[in-house]
Amino acid sequence: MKKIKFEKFTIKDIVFLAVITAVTLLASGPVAPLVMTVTKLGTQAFAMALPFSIFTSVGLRKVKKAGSLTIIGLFSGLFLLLMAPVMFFNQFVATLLSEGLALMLFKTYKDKITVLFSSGLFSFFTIPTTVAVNILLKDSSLSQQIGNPITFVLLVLGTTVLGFLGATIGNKIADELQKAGKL
Amino acid sequence: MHRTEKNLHPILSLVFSLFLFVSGLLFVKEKWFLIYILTFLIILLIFRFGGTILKIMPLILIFGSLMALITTINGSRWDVLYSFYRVFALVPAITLSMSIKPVHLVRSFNQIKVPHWISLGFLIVIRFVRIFLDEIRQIRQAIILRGIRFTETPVLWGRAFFIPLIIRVLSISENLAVSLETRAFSTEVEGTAYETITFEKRNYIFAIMSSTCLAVYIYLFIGGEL
Repeated sequence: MKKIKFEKFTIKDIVFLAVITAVTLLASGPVAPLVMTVTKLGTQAFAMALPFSIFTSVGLRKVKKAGSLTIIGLFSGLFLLLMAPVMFFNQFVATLLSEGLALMLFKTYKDKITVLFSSGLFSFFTIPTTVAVNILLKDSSLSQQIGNPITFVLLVLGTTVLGFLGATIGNKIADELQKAGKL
Repeated sequence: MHRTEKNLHPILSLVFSLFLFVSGLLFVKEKWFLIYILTFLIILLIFRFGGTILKIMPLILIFGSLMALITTINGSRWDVLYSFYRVFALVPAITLSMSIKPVHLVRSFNQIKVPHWISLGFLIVIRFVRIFLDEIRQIRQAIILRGIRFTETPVLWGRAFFIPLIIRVLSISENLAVSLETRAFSTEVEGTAYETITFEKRNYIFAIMSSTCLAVYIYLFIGGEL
């Protein structure tokens, strides 16, 4: 049975993951006002799904080591910590969950499907984290947060679809770069 | 050795920013919420954060009003007020976190033995957000010059945007990694602090004042009476 292999990160890996995090945060900049103003559960994840999954999947194709997505989550969380402390937990826990699940299923980043699942599911996993934060801090019950169930289901489905779409686009970009010998 | 002068110790600011963020949101529905906010605003003013508060206040008022306006769609009068308060509750936390200088935070991280690669990565993220903002601007200008429009040819626009951007990411990170390696940076070697961030007397005073006030409000929140 294949086991998850944990390899050491070199300074090159860390630098690349940090730079890709910076670009990911910048790419999600245009949707930030929407994320900040809309309170409906799932809207934030829906808006962030595409930019996050595109860039994180490129990052994972370059640094194919277990823990890469969690490191991206840690860096973006630390950056967001200075704006909204709770966002740190949101980012970090979501990356931990999606990477954990992807690696449990497929064991290694050498297969493209692991990258697809890991970065594609990241935004989806921010939803339960947001629910937990809202229950703990805003005293808002699950039903209050969900509101109209149909809209909520559509948002969750949309988040998942956009996440996987972004991850597919990211993989395509990585394929082209690999063909050109740049990755 | 570095004296934090006007700013508080970065770790202290970060910890209290987190506490005030959480407590602010928890206390929103309490009768004494405005007194709570006022208490911490006074403490921050005593510690010379007036300028920062003034800077963020317009944004908080606009954002808070917007949140309240959205809540009017299906919320009661109290819900509208609480959604404004939720944004207003962030003022003390944001004031503290905005006062943190990233370089000082990284140096403090090093002092408390946070792994070197974490603080290095964090610093790169902060530094490169600005650099890539210019890169993205340049790429978008090139796209406009070539007459590519997202509305007409979205796939071509995507290629023209993402490929050059990722190439820049690769070349910049490659150069930066080489540059760091030649300066003996490594994930295995422990780094030394370029300057020591000291924990001065005003930090102790701030910690004692804020903790005492916070303890009183937590006592009130859990049902205690004064």
